[in-house]
Amino acid sequence: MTSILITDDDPYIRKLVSRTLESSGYETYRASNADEAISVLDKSGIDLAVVDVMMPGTDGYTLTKIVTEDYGLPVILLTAKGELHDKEQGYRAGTDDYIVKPFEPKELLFRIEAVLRRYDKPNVQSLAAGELVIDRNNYDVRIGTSHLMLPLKEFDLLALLASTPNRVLSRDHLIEQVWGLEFEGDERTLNVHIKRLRERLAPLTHSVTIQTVRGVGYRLEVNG
Amino acid sequence: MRSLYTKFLLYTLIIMSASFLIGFLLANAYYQNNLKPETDRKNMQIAKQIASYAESSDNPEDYLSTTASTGYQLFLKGPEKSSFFGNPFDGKDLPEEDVQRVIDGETYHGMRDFSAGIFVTGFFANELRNSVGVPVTIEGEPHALFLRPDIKLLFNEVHILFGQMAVVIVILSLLAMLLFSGILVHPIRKLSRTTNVIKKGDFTVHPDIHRKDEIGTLARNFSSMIDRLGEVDRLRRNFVSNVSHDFQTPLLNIRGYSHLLESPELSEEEKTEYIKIIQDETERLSTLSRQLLLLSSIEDSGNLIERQSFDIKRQLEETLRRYHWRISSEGLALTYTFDEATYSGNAELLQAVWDNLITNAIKYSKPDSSIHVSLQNMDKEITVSVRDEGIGMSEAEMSRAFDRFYRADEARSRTTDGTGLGLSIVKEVTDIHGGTASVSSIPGEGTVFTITLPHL
Repeated sequence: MTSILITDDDPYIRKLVSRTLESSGYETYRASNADEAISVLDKSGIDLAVVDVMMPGTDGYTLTKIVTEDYGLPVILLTAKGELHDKEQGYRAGTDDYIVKPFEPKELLFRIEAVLRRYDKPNVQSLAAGELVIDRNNYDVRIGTSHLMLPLKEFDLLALLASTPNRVLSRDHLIEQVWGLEFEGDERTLNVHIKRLRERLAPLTHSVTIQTVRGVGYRLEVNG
Repeated sequence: MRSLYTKFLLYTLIIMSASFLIGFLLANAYYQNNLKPETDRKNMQIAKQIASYAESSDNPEDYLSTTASTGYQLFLKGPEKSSFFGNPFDGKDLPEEDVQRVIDGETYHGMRDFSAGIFVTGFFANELRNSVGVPVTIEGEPHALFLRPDIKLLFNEVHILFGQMAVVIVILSLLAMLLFSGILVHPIRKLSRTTNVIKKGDFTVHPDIHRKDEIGTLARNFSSMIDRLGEVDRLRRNFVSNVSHDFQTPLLNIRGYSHLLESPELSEEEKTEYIKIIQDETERLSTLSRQLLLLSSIEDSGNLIERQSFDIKRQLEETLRRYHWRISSEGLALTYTFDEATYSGNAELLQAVWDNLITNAIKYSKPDSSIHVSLQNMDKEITVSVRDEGIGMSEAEMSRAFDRFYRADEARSRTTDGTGLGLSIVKEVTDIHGGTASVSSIPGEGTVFTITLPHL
């Protein structure tokens, strides 16, 4: 189970964040200041730390530096102000991401997931297919000078198809890889996602097309 | 009273006195330098003629006194006696030796040599020194005859005439000045009365002045200023009532629905619905207070914002990355094409612009559609455009899009946590960067917001 350390001097925020994370299946530890945080880090196996910038005593930037440099763990900073100055100081301290209060719990979950993915597979190569360059670390698709940001499922689907260009992938394989084994959705869900992907790629490039192979699945074809 | 009237009168009097004084001094100087020798010469001629007549006269004394009565003052100095003819001189001192020289046959040029002070006109100085003298032989004896025209006799009436004229000129000028200053002072008093009314908060009055001169221009400018002030005042009142309404409504909802939640016989469905409403309303309040703070900080700083050079491309990329989860969870895609660009401006304020444009685009996008963002870096300016494939706006909606608290659709906005402030922030931030914010839209097809920021 993934363990996350929440460091914030406000008890309500600690509680709110930990409840949110627990409901999504994370194990959480709480600390109200940097010293507590360090003692938790020493005792428990933490995977990621969420750190508030404004704390009495040692501030969030200093703690971030300690967590990233001494423990080699990813950090997400919580900041009350969206000021550029704060952000830069945060990135200098080594934070992987920052999030501005007030935030939606869903947003925090999304960020944590993204940061953890990056840490799990630190060196995923970019995929190239036709004009597409697919950066799986940042969920970014580049076509020439333009970039395309896709909904996550569509991105995963495209990345999967692009990883084996010109080869047919079966419907079951695609559904399992993108939605997981427990997926109980409609058969049509995949069709809809494929249709949308085609619509979104069409105005940007003709170098790749997603072909339907009847009765089997789909194939990303690189043209020319 | 230090009114303009008294000032005008005072200044007129001062100007008149000053011009009189200067005129006098100039005339005097002219007399001293140019006219004196001439007067002296003319009078010398007359004196010589009178002397020659007197010499040939049977009764010189009679002759001289007759001559004097035609407008001269005479002084005859003989070896035994001296006598005056005509009106007396004011000053009778004349050096002995000068008299003696004339008796001895020379002429005396007192008029030419008479030196008077700056404030005394030599012409009018009724003194014996200020005369001409000629030798004359009467009854075989050498005499000296001194002559000076009797100015008083000759010019008395002229004096009175000129005096009266001067008095009339002064009085008429002062009256005219009063009248004229009335013409100037009257509209100024009107303007002043109008300002007093405006001070009390009434912006409907206008000064009733219709003139073509500078005061007319002032009055017209004043009128348009009143209109502008009235407009600002109206906006401010609207703003305040809007703000309090916009704060009160969510508070009312939060209070109401949290009370409803206390009731024990609620279904799970109702509970979830009420909680969602409370969440949405707190979000609205949070956004609203943040935006108001931003607006007021923009207004405080006026046009003096802190500019710093920063990587605007990176700022936009980070902004999009931050919204990726929302775009993704709405099932939207986003394409962007960014030129490399650094810009000198206020990064924090511009961040608010991108936030507002992107949340707006997300809010109004149709399901499964795309948002397109571009950054173009040109020689003179940077252009950022955000295009959605959403519901679009009508002409009327576009024209009011950047107004404070304007929402394209009141009913729909209630569900999309709009505050009606976002686009007015966009506009004000671009304005203080000297740029423009524009919108173009086709109803049903989508909307493009274009921000142009000039390079410094």
